[in-house]
Amino acid sequence: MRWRTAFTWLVFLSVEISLFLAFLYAPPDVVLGETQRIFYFHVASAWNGLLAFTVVFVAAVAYLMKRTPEWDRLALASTEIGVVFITMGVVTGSIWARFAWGVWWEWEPRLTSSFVLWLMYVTLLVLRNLVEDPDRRARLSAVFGIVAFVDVPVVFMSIRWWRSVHPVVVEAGGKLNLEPPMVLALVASVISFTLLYLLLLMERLTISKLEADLADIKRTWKERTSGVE
Amino acid sequence: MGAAGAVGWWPQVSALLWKELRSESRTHDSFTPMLVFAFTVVTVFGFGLKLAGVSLRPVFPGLIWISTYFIGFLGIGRSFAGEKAQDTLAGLRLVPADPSYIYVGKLLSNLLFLSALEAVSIPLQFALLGVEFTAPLLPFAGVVILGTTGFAAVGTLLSGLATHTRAGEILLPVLAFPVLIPAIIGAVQATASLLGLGNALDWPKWIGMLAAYDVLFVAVSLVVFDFIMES
Repeated sequence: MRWRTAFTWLVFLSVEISLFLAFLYAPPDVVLGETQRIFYFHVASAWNGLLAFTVVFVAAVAYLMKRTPEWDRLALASTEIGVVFITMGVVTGSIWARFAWGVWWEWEPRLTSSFVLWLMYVTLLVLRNLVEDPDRRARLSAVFGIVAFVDVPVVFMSIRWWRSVHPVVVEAGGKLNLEPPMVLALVASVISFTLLYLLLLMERLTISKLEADLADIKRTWKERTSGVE
Repeated sequence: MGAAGAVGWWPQVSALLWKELRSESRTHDSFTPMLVFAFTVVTVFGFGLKLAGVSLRPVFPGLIWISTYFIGFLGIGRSFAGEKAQDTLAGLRLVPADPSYIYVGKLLSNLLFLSALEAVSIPLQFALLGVEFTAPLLPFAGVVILGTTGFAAVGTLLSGLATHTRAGEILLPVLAFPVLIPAIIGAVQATASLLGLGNALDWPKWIGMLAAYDVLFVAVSLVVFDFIMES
Protein backbone atom coordinates (compact mmCIF):
# COMPACT_ATOMS: atom_id res chain seq x y z
CA MET A 1 0.00 0.00 0.00
CA ARG A 2 3.06 2.24 0.00
CA TRP A 3 2.47 3.43 -3.56
CA ARG A 4 -1.14 4.32 -2.66
CA THR A 5 0.14 6.60 0.11
CA ALA A 6 2.68 8.11 -2.29
CA PHE A 7 -0.06 8.67 -4.86
CA THR A 8 -2.28 10.33 -2.25
CA TRP A 9 0.54 12.76 -1.45
CA LEU A 10 1.05 13.41 -5.15
CA VAL A 11 -2.65 14.27 -5.55
CA PHE A 12 -2.51 16.51 -2.48
CA LEU A 13 0.52 18.31 -3.85
CA SER A 14 -0.94 18.78 -7.33
CA VAL A 15 -4.20 20.15 -5.89
CA GLU A 16 -2.16 22.60 -3.78
CA ILE A 17 -0.18 23.70 -6.83
CA SER A 18 -3.33 24.20 -8.91
CA LEU A 19 -4.91 26.19 -6.06
CA PHE A 20 -1.85 28.42 -5.97
CA LEU A 21 -1.91 28.86 -9.75
CA ALA A 22 -5.65 29.54 -9.86
CA PHE A 23 -5.80 31.97 -6.92
CA LEU A 24 -2.41 33.67 -6.80
CA TYR A 25 -0.46 33.15 -9.98
CA ALA A 26 -3.06 33.71 -12.70
CA PRO A 27 -4.05 37.37 -13.16
CA PRO A 28 -7.67 38.43 -12.63
CA ASP A 29 -9.77 38.65 -15.77
CA VAL A 30 -10.01 42.10 -17.39
CA VAL A 31 -13.81 42.05 -17.58
CA LEU A 32 -14.90 39.64 -14.85
CA GLY A 33 -12.18 40.37 -12.31
CA GLU A 34 -11.59 37.90 -9.49
CA THR A 35 -14.84 35.99 -10.09
CA GLN A 36 -13.38 34.51 -13.26
CA ARG A 37 -11.16 32.28 -11.09
CA ILE A 38 -14.07 29.88 -10.57
CA PHE A 39 -13.58 29.02 -14.23
CA TYR A 40 -10.56 26.81 -13.40
CA PHE A 41 -12.60 24.61 -11.05
CA HIS A 42 -15.67 24.73 -13.25
CA VAL A 43 -13.88 23.42 -16.35
CA ALA A 44 -11.90 20.82 -14.37
CA SER A 45 -15.07 19.49 -12.67
CA ALA A 46 -17.10 19.32 -15.85
CA TRP A 47 -14.24 17.60 -17.68
CA ASN A 48 -13.98 15.00 -14.91
CA GLY A 49 -17.71 14.37 -15.04
CA LEU A 50 -17.40 13.53 -18.74
CA LEU A 51 -14.34 11.39 -18.10
CA ALA A 52 -16.12 9.50 -15.30
CA PHE A 53 -19.18 8.81 -17.46
CA THR A 54 -16.97 7.56 -20.28
CA VAL A 55 -15.45 5.11 -17.79
CA VAL A 56 -19.00 4.07 -16.74
CA PHE A 57 -19.80 3.31 -20.38
CA VAL A 58 -16.63 1.25 -20.89
CA ALA A 59 -17.20 -0.63 -17.62
CA ALA A 60 -20.85 -1.27 -18.56
CA VAL A 61 -19.92 -2.77 -21.94
CA ALA A 62 -17.15 -4.82 -20.31
CA TYR A 63 -19.54 -6.07 -17.64
CA LEU A 64 -22.12 -7.24 -20.15
CA MET A 65 -19.40 -9.11 -22.06
CA LYS A 66 -17.41 -10.56 -19.16
CA ARG A 67 -19.99 -10.71 -16.33
CA THR A 68 -17.43 -10.24 -13.56
CA PRO A 69 -18.47 -8.12 -10.54
CA GLU A 70 -15.26 -6.06 -10.77
CA TRP A 71 -16.60 -4.25 -13.86
CA ASP A 72 -19.86 -3.45 -12.09
CA ARG A 73 -17.97 -2.09 -9.10
CA LEU A 74 -15.94 0.12 -11.45
CA ALA A 75 -19.16 1.36 -13.10
CA LEU A 76 -20.71 2.16 -9.71
CA ALA A 77 -17.59 3.92 -8.39
CA SER A 78 -17.25 6.02 -11.52
CA THR A 79 -20.96 6.91 -11.57
CA GLU A 80 -20.86 8.17 -8.00
CA ILE A 81 -17.70 10.22 -8.46
CA GLY A 82 -18.91 11.47 -11.84
CA VAL A 83 -22.14 12.70 -10.24
CA VAL A 84 -20.10 14.57 -7.60
CA PHE A 85 -17.95 16.25 -10.27
CA ILE A 86 -20.81 17.11 -12.60
CA THR A 87 -22.73 18.53 -9.62
CA MET A 88 -19.72 20.74 -8.90
CA GLY A 89 -19.59 21.65 -12.59
CA VAL A 90 -23.25 22.70 -12.66
CA VAL A 91 -23.10 24.55 -9.32
CA THR A 92 -19.91 26.45 -10.20
CA GLY A 93 -21.43 27.16 -13.63
CA SER A 94 -24.50 28.62 -11.95
CA ILE A 95 -22.40 30.77 -9.59
CA TRP A 96 -20.31 31.94 -12.52
CA ALA A 97 -23.45 32.75 -14.52
CA ARG A 98 -24.58 34.92 -11.60
CA PHE A 99 -21.45 37.08 -11.85
CA ALA A 100 -20.82 36.94 -15.59
CA TRP A 101 -24.42 37.29 -16.82
CA GLY A 102 -26.21 38.54 -13.70
CA VAL A 103 -28.55 35.53 -13.45
CA TRP A 104 -28.24 32.28 -11.49
CA TRP A 105 -29.31 30.18 -14.39
CA GLU A 106 -28.99 30.75 -18.10
CA TRP A 107 -30.16 28.12 -20.61
CA GLU A 108 -26.75 28.20 -22.18
CA PRO A 109 -25.87 25.04 -24.19
CA ARG A 110 -23.01 23.74 -22.10
CA LEU A 111 -24.63 24.50 -18.76
CA THR A 112 -27.91 22.94 -19.87
CA SER A 113 -26.16 19.87 -21.30
CA SER A 114 -24.27 19.38 -18.05
CA PHE A 115 -27.54 19.60 -16.18
CA VAL A 116 -29.14 16.93 -18.38
CA LEU A 117 -26.04 14.78 -17.84
CA TRP A 118 -26.42 15.24 -14.10
CA LEU A 119 -30.09 14.21 -14.39
CA MET A 120 -29.26 11.02 -16.30
CA TYR A 121 -26.58 9.80 -13.94
CA VAL A 122 -28.51 10.65 -10.78
CA THR A 123 -31.27 8.55 -12.37
CA LEU A 124 -28.74 5.74 -12.81
CA LEU A 125 -27.97 5.88 -9.08
CA VAL A 126 -31.70 5.82 -8.30
CA LEU A 127 -32.08 2.78 -10.56
CA ARG A 128 -29.26 0.97 -8.76
CA ASN A 129 -31.04 1.43 -5.43
CA LEU A 130 -34.23 -0.14 -6.75
CA VAL A 131 -32.83 -3.56 -7.70
CA GLU A 132 -31.97 -6.02 -4.92
CA ASP A 133 -30.33 -8.90 -6.74
CA PRO A 134 -26.66 -7.96 -7.39
CA ASP A 135 -26.40 -9.64 -10.82
CA ARG A 136 -29.63 -8.15 -12.05
CA ARG A 137 -28.66 -4.74 -10.65
CA ALA A 138 -25.34 -4.88 -12.46
CA ARG A 139 -26.99 -5.95 -15.72
CA LEU A 140 -29.81 -3.38 -15.70
CA SER A 141 -27.59 -0.50 -14.66
CA ALA A 142 -25.07 -1.46 -17.35
CA VAL A 143 -27.85 -1.25 -19.94
CA PHE A 144 -28.94 2.17 -18.66
CA GLY A 145 -25.30 3.31 -18.50
CA ILE A 146 -24.92 2.46 -22.18
CA VAL A 147 -28.22 4.10 -23.21
CA ALA A 148 -27.36 7.27 -21.26
CA PHE A 149 -23.87 7.54 -22.71
CA VAL A 150 -25.07 7.04 -26.29
CA ASP A 151 -27.51 9.89 -25.60
CA VAL A 152 -24.80 12.33 -24.46
CA PRO A 153 -23.65 13.55 -27.92
CA VAL A 154 -27.27 13.76 -29.11
CA VAL A 155 -28.18 15.85 -26.05
CA PHE A 156 -25.24 18.18 -26.65
CA MET A 157 -26.04 18.62 -30.33
CA SER A 158 -29.80 19.06 -29.90
CA ILE A 159 -29.39 21.61 -27.11
CA ARG A 160 -26.88 23.54 -29.21
CA TRP A 161 -29.32 23.65 -32.12
CA TRP A 162 -32.21 24.45 -29.81
CA ARG A 163 -30.28 27.37 -28.32
CA SER A 164 -29.41 28.73 -31.73
CA VAL A 165 -33.09 29.17 -32.67
CA HIS A 166 -33.79 31.15 -29.52
CA PRO A 167 -32.60 34.73 -29.15
CA VAL A 168 -29.76 34.83 -26.66
CA VAL A 169 -30.64 37.38 -23.99
CA VAL A 170 -27.25 37.44 -22.37
CA GLU A 171 -24.33 36.82 -24.66
CA ALA A 172 -21.64 34.52 -23.27
CA GLY A 173 -19.58 36.92 -21.15
CA GLY A 174 -17.01 38.31 -23.58
CA LYS A 175 -14.90 35.63 -25.24
CA LEU A 176 -12.27 34.57 -22.75
CA ASN A 177 -8.90 35.60 -23.98
CA LEU A 178 -6.69 33.40 -21.91
CA GLU A 179 -3.24 34.69 -21.10
CA PRO A 180 -0.42 32.14 -20.73
CA PRO A 181 -0.56 32.13 -16.87
CA MET A 182 -4.31 31.46 -17.12
CA VAL A 183 -3.76 28.57 -19.51
CA LEU A 184 -1.20 27.13 -17.10
CA ALA A 185 -3.63 27.42 -14.17
CA LEU A 186 -6.36 25.76 -16.24
CA VAL A 187 -4.14 22.87 -17.34
CA ALA A 188 -2.94 22.38 -13.75
CA SER A 189 -6.53 22.32 -12.44
CA VAL A 190 -7.61 19.78 -15.03
CA ILE A 191 -4.61 17.54 -14.29
CA SER A 192 -4.96 17.74 -10.51
CA PHE A 193 -8.72 17.09 -10.65
CA THR A 194 -8.11 14.10 -12.93
CA LEU A 195 -5.58 12.73 -10.44
CA LEU A 196 -8.12 13.35 -7.68
CA TYR A 197 -10.70 11.40 -9.71
CA LEU A 198 -8.28 8.47 -10.00
CA LEU A 199 -7.55 8.53 -6.27
CA LEU A 200 -11.26 8.64 -5.34
CA LEU A 201 -11.91 5.83 -7.83
CA MET A 202 -9.26 3.62 -6.23
CA GLU A 203 -10.57 4.33 -2.75
CA ARG A 204 -14.15 3.63 -3.79
CA LEU A 205 -13.12 0.37 -5.47
CA THR A 206 -11.34 -0.74 -2.30
CA ILE A 207 -14.48 -0.05 -0.27
CA SER A 208 -16.66 -1.91 -2.81
CA LYS A 209 -14.32 -4.89 -2.68
CA LEU A 210 -14.51 -4.92 1.12
CA GLU A 211 -18.30 -4.66 0.99
CA ALA A 212 -18.47 -7.58 -1.43
CA ASP A 213 -16.12 -9.65 0.74
CA LEU A 214 -18.18 -8.87 3.82
CA ALA A 215 -21.38 -9.92 2.05
CA ASP A 216 -19.65 -13.19 1.08
CA ILE A 217 -18.55 -13.85 4.64
CA LYS A 218 -22.05 -13.15 5.95
CA ARG A 219 -23.58 -15.50 3.38
CA THR A 220 -21.13 -18.28 4.22
CA TRP A 221 -21.79 -17.76 7.92
CA LYS A 222 -25.55 -18.00 7.38
CA GLU A 223 -25.18 -21.18 5.34
CA ARG A 224 -22.97 -22.81 7.98
CA THR A 225 -25.17 -21.85 10.93
CA SER A 226 -28.38 -22.84 9.16
CA GLY A 227 -26.77 -26.21 8.37
CA VAL A 228 -26.24 -26.80 12.09
CA GLU A 229 -29.91 -26.55 12.98
CA MET B 1 -30.95 -12.63 -36.75
CA GLY B 2 -32.22 -16.00 -35.58
CA ALA B 3 -30.14 -18.90 -34.37
CA ALA B 4 -29.67 -22.07 -36.43
CA GLY B 5 -32.83 -24.16 -36.58
CA ALA B 6 -34.80 -21.27 -35.22
CA VAL B 7 -38.30 -20.47 -36.28
CA GLY B 8 -38.53 -17.37 -38.45
CA TRP B 9 -37.99 -14.01 -36.83
CA TRP B 10 -40.71 -12.01 -38.58
CA PRO B 11 -43.42 -14.62 -37.95
CA GLN B 12 -42.58 -14.29 -34.24
CA VAL B 13 -42.79 -10.50 -34.39
CA SER B 14 -46.18 -10.63 -36.08
CA ALA B 15 -47.42 -13.35 -33.70
CA LEU B 16 -46.46 -11.19 -30.72
CA LEU B 17 -48.00 -8.09 -32.30
CA TRP B 18 -51.22 -10.02 -33.00
CA LYS B 19 -51.22 -11.32 -29.42
CA GLU B 20 -50.89 -7.75 -28.07
CA LEU B 21 -53.74 -6.48 -30.23
CA ARG B 22 -56.02 -9.35 -29.28
CA SER B 23 -55.19 -9.06 -25.60
CA GLU B 24 -55.86 -5.32 -25.71
CA SER B 25 -59.13 -5.78 -27.58
CA ARG B 26 -60.30 -8.13 -24.83
CA THR B 27 -59.03 -6.39 -21.72
CA HIS B 28 -58.86 -2.70 -22.74
CA ASP B 29 -56.10 -2.44 -20.15
CA SER B 30 -53.91 0.22 -21.68
CA PHE B 31 -55.65 1.97 -24.59
CA THR B 32 -58.85 2.90 -22.74
CA PRO B 33 -57.09 4.53 -19.76
CA MET B 34 -54.85 6.44 -22.22
CA LEU B 35 -57.83 7.68 -24.19
CA VAL B 36 -59.75 8.79 -21.10
CA PHE B 37 -56.62 10.43 -19.73
CA ALA B 38 -56.21 12.31 -23.04
CA PHE B 39 -59.63 13.91 -22.52
CA THR B 40 -58.77 14.64 -18.90
CA VAL B 41 -55.49 16.32 -19.86
CA VAL B 42 -57.18 18.64 -22.36
CA THR B 43 -59.69 19.59 -19.68
CA VAL B 44 -56.92 20.24 -17.18
CA PHE B 45 -55.02 22.35 -19.72
CA GLY B 46 -58.21 24.25 -20.40
CA PHE B 47 -58.88 25.05 -16.76
CA GLY B 48 -55.25 25.49 -15.82
CA LEU B 49 -53.99 27.57 -18.71
CA LYS B 50 -56.71 29.00 -20.87
CA LEU B 51 -57.38 32.25 -19.13
CA ALA B 52 -59.75 34.67 -20.82
CA GLY B 53 -58.19 36.28 -23.84
CA VAL B 54 -54.83 34.58 -23.60
CA SER B 55 -53.73 32.63 -26.67
CA LEU B 56 -52.08 29.27 -26.03
CA ARG B 57 -50.59 29.23 -29.53
CA PRO B 58 -47.01 30.22 -28.58
CA VAL B 59 -46.74 27.37 -26.07
CA PHE B 60 -48.94 24.92 -27.95
CA PRO B 61 -46.13 22.79 -29.49
CA GLY B 62 -44.79 22.20 -25.99
CA LEU B 63 -48.26 21.36 -24.67
CA ILE B 64 -48.94 18.77 -27.39
CA TRP B 65 -45.71 16.92 -26.81
CA ILE B 66 -45.65 17.06 -23.04
CA SER B 67 -49.20 15.72 -22.92
CA THR B 68 -48.52 13.07 -25.58
CA TYR B 69 -45.50 11.76 -23.70
CA PHE B 70 -47.26 11.80 -20.33
CA ILE B 71 -50.31 10.02 -21.73
CA GLY B 72 -48.01 7.65 -23.60
CA PHE B 73 -46.18 6.60 -20.44
CA LEU B 74 -49.49 5.33 -19.11
CA GLY B 75 -49.73 2.71 -21.82
CA ILE B 76 -46.09 2.06 -22.61
CA GLY B 77 -45.31 1.46 -18.94
CA ARG B 78 -47.63 -1.54 -19.07
CA SER B 79 -45.75 -3.16 -21.99
CA PHE B 80 -44.22 -5.79 -19.77
CA ALA B 81 -46.30 -5.49 -16.60
CA GLY B 82 -48.86 -7.99 -17.90
CA GLU B 83 -46.18 -10.47 -18.91
CA LYS B 84 -44.66 -10.22 -15.47
CA ALA B 85 -47.97 -10.65 -13.64
CA GLN B 86 -48.89 -13.70 -15.74
CA ASP B 87 -45.33 -15.07 -15.69
CA THR B 88 -45.28 -15.25 -19.47
CA LEU B 89 -41.89 -13.60 -20.06
CA ALA B 90 -40.18 -16.97 -19.68
CA GLY B 91 -42.51 -18.30 -22.37
CA LEU B 92 -41.60 -15.48 -24.73
CA ARG B 93 -37.94 -16.17 -24.12
CA LEU B 94 -38.29 -19.90 -24.78
CA VAL B 95 -39.14 -19.24 -28.41
CA PRO B 96 -36.09 -20.35 -30.43
CA ALA B 97 -35.73 -17.04 -32.25
CA ASP B 98 -33.48 -14.05 -31.61
CA PRO B 99 -35.02 -12.40 -28.49
CA SER B 100 -35.04 -9.04 -30.28
CA TYR B 101 -38.38 -10.18 -31.72
CA ILE B 102 -39.89 -9.40 -28.30
CA TYR B 103 -38.63 -5.81 -28.46
CA VAL B 104 -39.78 -5.28 -32.05
CA GLY B 105 -43.20 -6.85 -31.41
CA LYS B 106 -43.77 -4.69 -28.34
CA LEU B 107 -42.44 -1.58 -30.10
CA LEU B 108 -44.82 -2.05 -33.04
CA SER B 109 -47.83 -2.65 -30.81
CA ASN B 110 -46.93 0.40 -28.71
CA LEU B 111 -46.61 2.46 -31.91
CA LEU B 112 -50.03 1.32 -33.07
CA PHE B 113 -51.69 2.22 -29.76
CA LEU B 114 -49.91 5.56 -29.57
CA SER B 115 -50.82 6.49 -33.15
CA ALA B 116 -54.47 5.60 -32.53
CA LEU B 117 -54.36 7.71 -29.39
CA GLU B 118 -52.78 10.70 -31.14
CA ALA B 119 -55.34 10.53 -33.94
CA VAL B 120 -57.84 11.51 -31.25
CA SER B 121 -55.83 13.52 -28.73
CA ILE B 122 -53.99 15.93 -31.05
CA PRO B 123 -57.03 17.17 -33.02
CA LEU B 124 -58.88 17.35 -29.70
CA GLN B 125 -56.23 19.66 -28.25
CA PHE B 126 -56.27 21.91 -31.31
CA ALA B 127 -60.05 22.12 -31.16
CA LEU B 128 -60.63 22.53 -27.43
CA LEU B 129 -57.71 24.86 -26.74
CA GLY B 130 -58.68 27.09 -29.64
CA VAL B 131 -55.48 26.85 -31.67
CA GLU B 132 -55.91 27.02 -35.41
CA PHE B 133 -54.22 24.22 -37.36
CA THR B 134 -52.10 26.01 -39.96
CA ALA B 135 -49.33 23.47 -40.55
CA PRO B 136 -48.86 21.60 -43.84
CA LEU B 137 -50.47 18.23 -43.09
CA LEU B 138 -47.86 15.82 -44.45
CA PRO B 139 -44.76 17.23 -42.69
CA PHE B 140 -46.84 17.60 -39.51
CA ALA B 141 -47.83 13.92 -39.67
CA GLY B 142 -44.17 13.09 -40.26
CA VAL B 143 -43.12 14.97 -37.13
CA VAL B 144 -45.82 13.24 -35.09
CA ILE B 145 -44.74 9.82 -36.37
CA LEU B 146 -41.01 10.46 -35.80
CA GLY B 147 -41.52 12.01 -32.36
CA THR B 148 -43.73 9.08 -31.36
CA THR B 149 -41.29 6.49 -32.72
CA GLY B 150 -38.42 7.91 -30.67
CA PHE B 151 -40.63 7.94 -27.61
CA ALA B 152 -41.77 4.36 -28.22
CA ALA B 153 -38.24 3.10 -28.96
CA VAL B 154 -36.82 4.43 -25.69
CA GLY B 155 -40.04 3.82 -23.74
CA THR B 156 -40.37 0.16 -24.76
CA LEU B 157 -36.75 -0.58 -23.84
CA LEU B 158 -36.85 1.21 -20.50
CA SER B 159 -40.31 -0.17 -19.71
CA GLY B 160 -38.75 -3.64 -19.89
CA LEU B 161 -35.98 -2.40 -17.63
CA ALA B 162 -38.32 -0.72 -15.12
CA THR B 163 -40.46 -3.87 -14.87
CA HIS B 164 -37.50 -5.69 -13.33
CA THR B 165 -36.95 -3.13 -10.56
CA ARG B 166 -38.63 -2.92 -7.18
CA ALA B 167 -40.49 0.25 -8.19
CA GLY B 168 -41.84 -1.32 -11.39
CA GLU B 169 -43.47 0.77 -14.11
CA ILE B 170 -43.61 3.87 -11.89
CA LEU B 171 -39.90 4.25 -12.55
CA LEU B 172 -40.37 4.50 -16.33
CA PRO B 173 -40.92 8.28 -16.67
CA VAL B 174 -38.01 8.90 -14.29
CA LEU B 175 -35.69 6.76 -16.41
CA ALA B 176 -37.02 7.82 -19.78
CA PHE B 177 -37.46 11.60 -19.64
CA PRO B 178 -33.76 12.52 -19.37
CA VAL B 179 -32.95 10.20 -22.28
CA LEU B 180 -35.89 11.62 -24.27
CA ILE B 181 -34.78 15.25 -23.99
CA PRO B 182 -33.36 15.40 -27.55
CA ALA B 183 -36.61 13.91 -28.90
CA ILE B 184 -38.68 16.47 -26.98
CA ILE B 185 -36.52 19.32 -28.27
CA GLY B 186 -36.71 18.03 -31.85
CA ALA B 187 -40.45 17.35 -31.81
CA VAL B 188 -41.37 20.67 -30.18
CA GLN B 189 -39.10 22.71 -32.44
CA ALA B 190 -40.31 21.00 -35.62
CA THR B 191 -43.94 21.47 -34.57
CA ALA B 192 -43.31 25.12 -33.71
CA SER B 193 -41.65 25.71 -37.07
CA LEU B 194 -44.56 24.06 -38.92
CA LEU B 195 -47.13 26.12 -37.01
CA GLY B 196 -45.33 29.29 -38.04
CA LEU B 197 -43.86 29.98 -34.62
CA GLY B 198 -40.19 30.79 -34.95
CA ASN B 199 -38.27 30.06 -38.11
CA ALA B 200 -40.57 28.50 -40.71
CA LEU B 201 -37.61 26.94 -42.54
CA ASP B 202 -36.25 25.07 -39.53
CA TRP B 203 -38.44 21.99 -39.59
CA PRO B 204 -36.50 19.83 -42.12
CA LYS B 205 -33.44 20.11 -39.87
CA TRP B 206 -35.39 18.97 -36.82
CA ILE B 207 -37.08 16.17 -38.76
CA GLY B 208 -33.61 14.96 -39.72
CA MET B 209 -32.52 15.06 -36.09
CA LEU B 210 -35.63 13.16 -34.95
CA ALA B 211 -35.07 10.50 -37.63
CA ALA B 212 -31.44 10.10 -36.55
CA TYR B 213 -32.54 9.83 -32.90
CA ASP B 214 -35.09 7.14 -33.79
CA VAL B 215 -32.62 5.07 -35.80
CA LEU B 216 -29.97 5.37 -33.08
CA PHE B 217 -32.22 4.28 -30.25
CA VAL B 218 -33.92 1.45 -32.13
CA ALA B 219 -30.43 0.16 -32.98
CA VAL B 220 -29.10 0.53 -29.42
CA SER B 221 -32.25 -1.10 -28.02
CA LEU B 222 -31.89 -4.10 -30.35
CA VAL B 223 -28.32 -4.57 -29.07
CA VAL B 224 -29.03 -4.24 -25.34
CA PHE B 225 -32.60 -5.56 -25.07
CA ASP B 226 -31.51 -9.16 -24.64
CA PHE B 227 -29.62 -8.26 -21.46
CA ILE B 228 -32.79 -6.88 -19.89
CA MET B 229 -34.80 -10.00 -20.64
CA GLU B 230 -32.37 -12.40 -18.96
CA SER B 231 -33.99 -12.49 -15.55
